[in-house]
Amino acid sequence: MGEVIVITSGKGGVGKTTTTANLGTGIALQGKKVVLVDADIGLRNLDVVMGLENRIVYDLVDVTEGNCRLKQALIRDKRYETLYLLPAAQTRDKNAVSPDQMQQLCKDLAEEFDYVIIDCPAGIEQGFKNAIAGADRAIIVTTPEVSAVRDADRIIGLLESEGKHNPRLIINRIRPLMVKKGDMMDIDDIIEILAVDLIGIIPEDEYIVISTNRGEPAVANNSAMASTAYRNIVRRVMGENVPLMTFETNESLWGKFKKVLGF
Amino acid sequence: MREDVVFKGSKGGLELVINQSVDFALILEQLKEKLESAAQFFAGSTGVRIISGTNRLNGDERHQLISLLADYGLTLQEYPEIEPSTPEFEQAADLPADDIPVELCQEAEGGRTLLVSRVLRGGQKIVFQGSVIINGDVNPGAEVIASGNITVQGTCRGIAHAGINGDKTASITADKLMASQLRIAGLIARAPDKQDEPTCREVARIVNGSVIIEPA
Repeated sequence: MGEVIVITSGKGGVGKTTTTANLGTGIALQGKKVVLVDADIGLRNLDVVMGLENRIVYDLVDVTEGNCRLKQALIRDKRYETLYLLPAAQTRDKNAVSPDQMQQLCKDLAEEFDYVIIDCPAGIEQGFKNAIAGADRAIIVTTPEVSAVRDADRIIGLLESEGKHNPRLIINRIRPLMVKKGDMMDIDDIIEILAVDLIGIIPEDEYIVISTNRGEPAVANNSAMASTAYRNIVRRVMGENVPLMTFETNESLWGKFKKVLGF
Repeated sequence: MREDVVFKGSKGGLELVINQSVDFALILEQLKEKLESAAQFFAGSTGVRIISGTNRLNGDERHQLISLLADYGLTLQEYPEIEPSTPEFEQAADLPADDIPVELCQEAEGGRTLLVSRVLRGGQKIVFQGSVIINGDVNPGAEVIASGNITVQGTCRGIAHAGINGDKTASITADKLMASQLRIAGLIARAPDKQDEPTCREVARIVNGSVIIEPA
């Protein structure tokens, strides 16, 4: 029985879809069987980021409505054999699926796959409720901005009220120079407010923009900083104990993070 | 003069009542006179429904009637002999509200064509029994589904499905055919992962069991 992980944030544009794509690809690179589920019905993006848009025939709503079998809707990634995508419907809305249906879907997928990773839509309405319904654990993505942290806090509260405790946190798009100058929220400020375990920090990296537009997740690239950060998160998700990253090019800046986090 | 042809106004629009026992040529003549004498009256209305009792008209007579009405700017709607039910209109009612602003018109051949004069954006979907002409682009994530042909007077980047009822002769034409998927009858062709911009108008159709694209 595989594990169902939901990637959520509350706020839009913080990097849920990018994180889902990179985490999933990274885990698949470790030889595990992974399925990515796009729960953002009506505003699907994960297929584009994965470069699989032109392969979609059936989608999640077709599965829950019984128009096709689950296996027919799963799209195998063009690069990695053990990676699959269940795309969202584009011409429907969030109400086309119920939390009960999502729960069943996640259960079915978890029997086939080692990891089921769900890309949650922004917001706290129906789409959010659907996305978290079948999840065993949650990973919250936030950026070092007051508004994103505020929304992350709200999400953690909502997850708790659904009985999903101890979510993990990813802080995305951090800019070490700005933090150093005191222009950006510090990691320990964020942790202090949210009081959850940090599972990774992703630096702001132009390569993410390039890889997203190409439809090739950055994690497979060996040189980019953000790729290394994602690979580390992958190992942590899979249970390895990996120290929080340091970047050779930015050693002095990241030394501060290391100190803060006790590494 | 006896009134063998009568126009009636009803909630649904104009209705044409024809006396079945009279020779068709006579009916046409009377209809022509009526239309001629009241051309001003008919100028504003576009649709005419023929009510019961016209089943005995043969195909040729029907065509004469249609063309006569057309001369005065009128179209024949809901012809029970040709279309026992009107699935087109039911289909149109099923579309989401934002997909509604479309025009319906009738081809001379008897097939129906839907003309859509706007850009079809991601998440918008048009389903139509007949052919569809899009006067605008079809953006990624949009779907056009038709039982007949699909023509895009613009760039087609979404999904186009022609011949949905199994018509393998259906075709998909676009000024720039860059669809993420082309489906004709039961066949699906997907775009290559690296797609070049086409340099001319192209048409996709089934040849020897596979979907091919060639300059239109």
